[in-house]
Amino acid sequence: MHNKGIDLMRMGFGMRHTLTIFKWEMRKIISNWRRTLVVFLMPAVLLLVALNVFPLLINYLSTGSLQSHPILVVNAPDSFRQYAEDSVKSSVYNYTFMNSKEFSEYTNDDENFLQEKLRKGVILVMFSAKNEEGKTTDFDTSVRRYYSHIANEEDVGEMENKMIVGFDADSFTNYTQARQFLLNIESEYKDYLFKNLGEEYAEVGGGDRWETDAFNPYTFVLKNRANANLGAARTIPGVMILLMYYCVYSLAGEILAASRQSGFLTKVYLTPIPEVSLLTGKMMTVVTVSSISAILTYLLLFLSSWLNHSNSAFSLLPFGMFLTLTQLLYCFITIVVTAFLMCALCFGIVFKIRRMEDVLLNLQIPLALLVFELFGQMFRPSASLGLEFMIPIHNAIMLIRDIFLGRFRMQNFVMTILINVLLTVILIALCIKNTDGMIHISQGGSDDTSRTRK
Amino acid sequence: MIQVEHVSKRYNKSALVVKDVSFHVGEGQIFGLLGPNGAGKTTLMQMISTLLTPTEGSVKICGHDTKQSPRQIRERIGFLTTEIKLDPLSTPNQLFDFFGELYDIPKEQIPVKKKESFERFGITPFADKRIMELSTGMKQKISIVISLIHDPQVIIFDEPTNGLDILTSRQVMDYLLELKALGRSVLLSTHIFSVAEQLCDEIAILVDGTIVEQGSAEELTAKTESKNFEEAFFKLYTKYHKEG
Repeated sequence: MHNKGIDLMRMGFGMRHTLTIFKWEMRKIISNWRRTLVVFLMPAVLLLVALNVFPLLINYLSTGSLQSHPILVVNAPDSFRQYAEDSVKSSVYNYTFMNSKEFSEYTNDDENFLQEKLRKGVILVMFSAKNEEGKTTDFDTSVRRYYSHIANEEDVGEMENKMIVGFDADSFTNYTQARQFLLNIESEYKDYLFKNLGEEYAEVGGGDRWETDAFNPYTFVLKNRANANLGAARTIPGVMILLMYYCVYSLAGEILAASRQSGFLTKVYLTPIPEVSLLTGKMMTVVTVSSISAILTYLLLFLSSWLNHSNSAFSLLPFGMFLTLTQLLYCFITIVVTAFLMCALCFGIVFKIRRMEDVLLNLQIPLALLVFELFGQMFRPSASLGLEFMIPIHNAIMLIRDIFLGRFRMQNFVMTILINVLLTVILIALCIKNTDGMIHISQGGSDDTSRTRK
Repeated sequence: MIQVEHVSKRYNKSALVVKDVSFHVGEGQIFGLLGPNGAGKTTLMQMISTLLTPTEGSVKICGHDTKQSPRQIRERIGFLTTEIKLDPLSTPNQLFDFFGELYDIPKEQIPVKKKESFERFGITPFADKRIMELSTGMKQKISIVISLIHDPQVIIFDEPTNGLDILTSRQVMDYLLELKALGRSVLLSTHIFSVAEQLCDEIAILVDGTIVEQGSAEELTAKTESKNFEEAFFKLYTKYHKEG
């Protein structure tokens, strides 16, 4: 009973000392806020700029122009001109309207000229319509007649109303932009035609009776979310984990390796506080700051997505990225657990290696691996495999990726947390076993202070 | 207070750095370790202060063994060495509060102790300046204050006057004598003869990791039939030092 009391008292002292170390380290970080901002916020901002410049660069390299989405519309009906003016989605495109004659003059009837234009990113949109007898007619009139026919259950004969989208299938840029144009415009323009030219059909009960409320912000978010989260899944997990590791390794280098090098850590080590308190206090600082840094990175990326109104097909963060509160909670738990693992890994490296240069070099190895991982994830087409959740740190990227893709599975989450926690505990136990790693032991003598040994 | 019994130290597979060293330091005694660079003074002090574990032998402080009860020993010692530097971005005020908390000094006592120590060493005007902005002498004074914040029974100072000007050196030496008068045990390592001669009740001459002679400065001078203590040291060094 007496021993238990003593143990509990020691534990209390230990926790108090952990808190003292934590407060001390946090104060140092906050008091040096300019440096902290430069070290932790600058990479996130620079990466964010890079993410936004990337689509522009791809566009420029493949088309030779920074202008986005030039659309050449031939024989545009009044309905399309009006739709282009009214639609928010359509407003991001740069339209040039021509009739057949003007188009012929423009291209000089030269196919190579047109091909060259398409290669440079121009998307060609042509409208054509045929009446019941198969003769060319006005597009809008033909659409109205078509709806009238089907409202009265009459034969439409050889009627056809076409919006043809032309692009260079050999140009990846042109192909992708044309696909995105179709994705954005096609169904919305069809609805527009129905609303404005299909009154007769609507009156007899045709078409879609249930209309989504376009002014409902939740509907608006959900409409964009599917596309945006798909894009975000490629970039955000990799970016967050990469920047978090950058933060963890910088802090571990600063508050452990540099502090040991200067001998200040030895001074603290020589106080009667338990080594575990010293270790956990420093670990708590690293995990707190790096988790905050990861959350700030997420907020910056979230903001970037919501400011990305152009919503280019090449955009790494399309407009409307959104996670629900539950999804955010899973992300947050994964981030904190991974931060602990990264911290334990960095501490293990610092404890094992004595020379400051070697410490920094070794701490940068996982950073290089995570850069590769980020690019790999950007272009990865396949879904996550069950075994991937057994690879520490990588499993966190995969899990956050799956959350964005809406493929979250509880067993993968449990596996990720278990594996990462288990490895963290093993690494911390190794650190505690090797607390000598905290001490700067050097040979004495005024002229012999640079040599260190173990 | 300090009992060093047949202590040896070997780093990995290298030769012994400290060989079979034994000595005792009593209450109110200043014990000096004198030797050239590389003699093993710092290693010996690091073993006594629980930073290193002896390969052989034992070190006891106030009855506690360094291997078995390092925490109890850390509560009782104040260790100062030039190797241990203060955090350059912190102020003396912040450092005192921080170490006060780590040594479990009651919160209400910390400001009282701080005022007393800072005034004793003339730190008060610089109390809110960053360590990096202070002179070497001032840094050393702050290090002493921080090392003795918990009023330890045993004081271990490795080259305490290294790099200090004459005035600060004098101040440090006077303080060590004050501590002695208060009954504290002081273990001192130095390679400055005058410091050893003036301060130490007993001096151990350390050559190549071994204590070759031990006694007061007068006893060592007489034993070696030398004119002064400096000559005595060189005679002993020449006699026992092996090249290579």
